[in-house]
Amino acid sequence: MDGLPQRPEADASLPSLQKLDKERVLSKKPKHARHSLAPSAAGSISSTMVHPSAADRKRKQTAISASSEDGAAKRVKIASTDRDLVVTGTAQPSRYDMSQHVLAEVWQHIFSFVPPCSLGNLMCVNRLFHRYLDPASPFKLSAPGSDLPSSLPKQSPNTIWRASRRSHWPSMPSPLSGRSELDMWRLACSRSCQFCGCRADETDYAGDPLRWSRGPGNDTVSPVFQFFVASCGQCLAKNSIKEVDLLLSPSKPSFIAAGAPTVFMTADLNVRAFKQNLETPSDLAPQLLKNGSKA
Amino acid sequence: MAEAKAASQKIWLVSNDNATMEVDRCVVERSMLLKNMLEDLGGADISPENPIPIPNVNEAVLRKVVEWCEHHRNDPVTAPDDESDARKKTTDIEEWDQKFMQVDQEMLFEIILASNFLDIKPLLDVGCKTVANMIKGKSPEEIRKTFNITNDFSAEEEEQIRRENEWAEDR
Repeated sequence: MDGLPQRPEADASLPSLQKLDKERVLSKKPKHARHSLAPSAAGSISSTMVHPSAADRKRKQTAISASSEDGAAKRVKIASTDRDLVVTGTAQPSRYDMSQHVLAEVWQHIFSFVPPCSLGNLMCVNRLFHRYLDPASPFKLSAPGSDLPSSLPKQSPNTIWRASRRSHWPSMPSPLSGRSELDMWRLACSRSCQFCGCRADETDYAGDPLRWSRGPGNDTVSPVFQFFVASCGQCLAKNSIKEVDLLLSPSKPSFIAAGAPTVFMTADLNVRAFKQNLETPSDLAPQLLKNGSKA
Repeated sequence: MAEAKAASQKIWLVSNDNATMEVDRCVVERSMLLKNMLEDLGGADISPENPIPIPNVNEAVLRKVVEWCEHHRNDPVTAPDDESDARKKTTDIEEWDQKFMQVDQEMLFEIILASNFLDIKPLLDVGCKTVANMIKGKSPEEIRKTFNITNDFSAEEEEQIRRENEWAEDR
């Protein structure tokens, strides 16, 4: 586990993020509904270009409408074609592999307009995109066209993520010191425990009547910013050590307690903020936990 | 007087497939590359017989780019520090530009690459936002299909990367 105490203010706006993110994406979908097929503007293009000719386009369109007419596959097919049109506004997929055909600087600039969750999906597309977006990417590929003149600068993964965060999540704080933008999203939005891998519905603890519980509790997973882990309650308890045990331990020097990151944890494995602890004298007798060498 | 003359001055451009076109100087100057070049050279000796060559850009793409510059000829030039302001609008694209960008995907990328080469930042941004909108809400497989991208991960790599980025799924 992380050895340094983390900035406490970072977690204030984060726990509700996961739900919000979902709502955002949902509410955005209908917005592009008015895009239509019409590749009209390209219709006037002369024959000197290397792009697909009008005839080519027509053929593809016919193919789309024909395929949407056969029986059982009909609905699925229409749905997927519709969706392409709705989101893209351009119907025809390209003949080239666009990841190779387009300069690294241009893709990086495009990525800076994409919301963070879509950046996460882009990383799973191919090695090149992974390299553009993960500061720790193991793939060392030469980017296409790196010797061509470009008015755009090269951007590091962190710069792209920062631009994306600032325009789509302006209230999201910058990363904790020593962590990348990507680390923060993985921590804040994780839905499975990083120790045992169990998944849990993150909305469970939102309904907590006491209102100050931050999870994870017995059956959910939540980020614990002090430790920089996303964990279920059981693993959090297993991978941390109670202060009293540390003080009484014959094998561990008790003075490390003062320097180790600390959270207050209730008997039902929920993390409590220190401040709330002071405000609400509790009958739940929160136990002080310190992370230990096990993690 | 000299300025007015400069604004109505004609410039000739030639695409890489030898199509010459006549464009007003103020339209050409939407391109920072050409603007700087014209400022350095004065542009007096540019003629239909001696046009400015635009390598890497074919006629169809150059005509689209010039069409955009014509429409936006009176837009205020944005200073580099307006960047944050433009950012705020993220993926909002004005209606005329949306229509302008309704072209097939190869043309769209050609316009982006040409505006990158010619250094026309607002056009570049519109193009990139259009592509960004095509990416939004799509799964990795849908993105591959859209841009005809080959999945070059090994099965193990893909599984590991998928697990690492699970947080982004279904959002």
